[in-house]
Amino acid sequence: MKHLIDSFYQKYIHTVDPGLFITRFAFKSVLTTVTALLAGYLVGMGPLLQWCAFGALGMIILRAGSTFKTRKIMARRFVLLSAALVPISTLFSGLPFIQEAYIFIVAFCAIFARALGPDIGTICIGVLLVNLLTLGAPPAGLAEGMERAASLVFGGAIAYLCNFHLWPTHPERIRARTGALALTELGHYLNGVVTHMNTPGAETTISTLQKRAVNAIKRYRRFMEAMNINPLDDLKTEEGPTAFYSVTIRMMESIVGLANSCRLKTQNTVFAQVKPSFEKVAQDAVENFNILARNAVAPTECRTLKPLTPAVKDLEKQLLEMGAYRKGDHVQKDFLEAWGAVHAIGNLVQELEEAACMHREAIQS
Amino acid sequence: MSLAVLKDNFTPKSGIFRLAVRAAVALCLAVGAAHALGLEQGMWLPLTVLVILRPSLGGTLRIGWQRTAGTVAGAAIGISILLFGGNDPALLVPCLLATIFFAFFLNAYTYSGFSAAITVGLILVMGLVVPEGWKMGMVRVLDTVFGVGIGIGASFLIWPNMARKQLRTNLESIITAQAGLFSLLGKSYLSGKFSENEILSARIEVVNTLEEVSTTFKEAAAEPGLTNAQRRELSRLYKTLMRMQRLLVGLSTVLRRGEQGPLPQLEKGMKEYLDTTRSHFDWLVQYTQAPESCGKAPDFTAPTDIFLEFAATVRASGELDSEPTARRNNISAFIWHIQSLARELQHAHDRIHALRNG
Repeated sequence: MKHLIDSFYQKYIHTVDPGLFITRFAFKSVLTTVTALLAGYLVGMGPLLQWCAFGALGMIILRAGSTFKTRKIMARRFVLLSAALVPISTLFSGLPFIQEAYIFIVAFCAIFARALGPDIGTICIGVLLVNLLTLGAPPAGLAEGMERAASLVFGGAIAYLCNFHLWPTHPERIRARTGALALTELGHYLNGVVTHMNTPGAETTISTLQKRAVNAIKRYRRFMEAMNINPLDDLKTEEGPTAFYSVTIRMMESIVGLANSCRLKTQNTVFAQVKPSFEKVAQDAVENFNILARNAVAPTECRTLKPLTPAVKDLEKQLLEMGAYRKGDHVQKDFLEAWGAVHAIGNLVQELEEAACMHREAIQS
Repeated sequence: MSLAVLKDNFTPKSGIFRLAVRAAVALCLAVGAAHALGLEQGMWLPLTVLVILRPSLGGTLRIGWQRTAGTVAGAAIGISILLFGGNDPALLVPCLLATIFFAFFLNAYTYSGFSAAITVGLILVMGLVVPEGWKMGMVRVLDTVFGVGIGIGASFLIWPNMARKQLRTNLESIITAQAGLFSLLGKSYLSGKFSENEILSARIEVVNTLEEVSTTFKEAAAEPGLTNAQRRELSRLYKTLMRMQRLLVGLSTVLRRGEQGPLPQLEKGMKEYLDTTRSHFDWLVQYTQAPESCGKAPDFTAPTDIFLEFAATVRASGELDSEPTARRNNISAFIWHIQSLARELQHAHDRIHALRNG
């Protein structure tokens, strides 16, 4: 059963929403909105229920701020600013020329505020959106405007509670999940590069896999930044999230290096002679990567990697014995390319071994 | 600080000021039109304008098209549910919840999909509230088309900002960023000190700039004014820039492994090799700006041939024989990467030339 679920996930879900991050967000958003609406209904909001929904939806959709702390601040600012302007726009609604003049001023300010940064820009667009919705609502007096504002604050407050307190984000858990996902995507990328090594026209597939791996690493970095960890501060550190980030980056680099060489070597006559050994090492490197990924997921276990350095040395020897210098200038560039490919696989093998060594030291300490 | 930023931007020369005026005028028009025409659900008009307006005309055209397509598809689905399923809340409420879920989900991937889900949701809400809610689907489509028209009109008429006019600046930024990364890698290699943090920061900058370039290219391709051949060149140029970025990543793995720096016998040649390649990057930056003042294009592959000749002389003297294979392999990989980079620089030049000359 587990196998069935896994293959279904890999085939249909992972390609669309790796790690189910978006699905979880969407699910949480629906629950939050429904909770806000239910609460509004229970306190007898009646026709003002839509304002409650606007408050809740605005709070969910407008995600401004790069850390959890600033996200909360921005959410509060959005609700308060919108609530302050709703009575005014209610008052001006339906008044020809005045409502146009009002919207001109609010729209100009909201969009111009983007000069202060994307976070302020995002919440100001939200405020403008609420103002437009108010101007589109049936005209009413100041008292009803105040009621609308209160309903908006109510909906926003419920969504705020759900989002940040009742169903909060657990940074550590998410970081671990994004890390595992980054590793999985790197594995797919490496597997794709090795599998499509001699397939002409596989560039699009490899590009897609690379893009997904890059996005997964980027997502991991964003979550670290949201937890106030700057991953670029000390990449040489040997433990914790920064060390893991450093490993993913170096792994990514080495796979990109391998992909660069594999893309060009299909026509290379020199390389053709070392191809079988090269492919064998590449396949073994994929296996080693999988072992490493399993070790990372179960940190107490430490499976040993297959030693590949001797195989890389053999590859180097094979190429060396072909005597590039004796064969004249016409094959010089083919040799360079072949050396490039051997270097790339050697670098990958070395990165895998260094990562395994780091893991072993972390367990021992 | 904030006031100073606002003050600096409060001028018609500022892009953000122009966008703010453009949006304010378009929204004003949309609110006025909805009011004057007595449109049912008239607020959909200004909402559409707000959502589709982008800093460039190409961006507005792209989002406008996506919004229209999504709204039409969503209206078709929503109307079908109401016409064939009726107004039964037992059917509509679960459908509505599913639609809200998809709206949040699709928002991360496709604007057309998000638009379609929102439209279905609105029609279902109307179906729950009024007996002939499906008619709202038609109203929504009409209001959206009208709103898209106002948005595009404003983008064309008020300080039109063509994305294709940003191409030059964008190209300059990306090639400059790549040149900066190349220089940093070269310096690290020659000094024998590999600074992970600095190199990673520079690479993140290249990736971010490349994303901006990708957006501008797509927006420029959506605008009128470029021929189909130029649109194809844009796509090819982007692929070339991507390959250059990948080669720079590959080069960093080579340089990290060559941590002891270049062999003393090769150092002078390598320095010249790196400097000349860097000067080719600079030439290309200048070419994106003012091709007429650049003269004839350099031979991008010549530095590799010169260095190979130099390396052959050193090798013939037997000075490299005692070096371990891994180190010699590292040098070969280094040359291969720069040679490939030079080839991509040549391609980039050809693409930019073709783009300029139609």
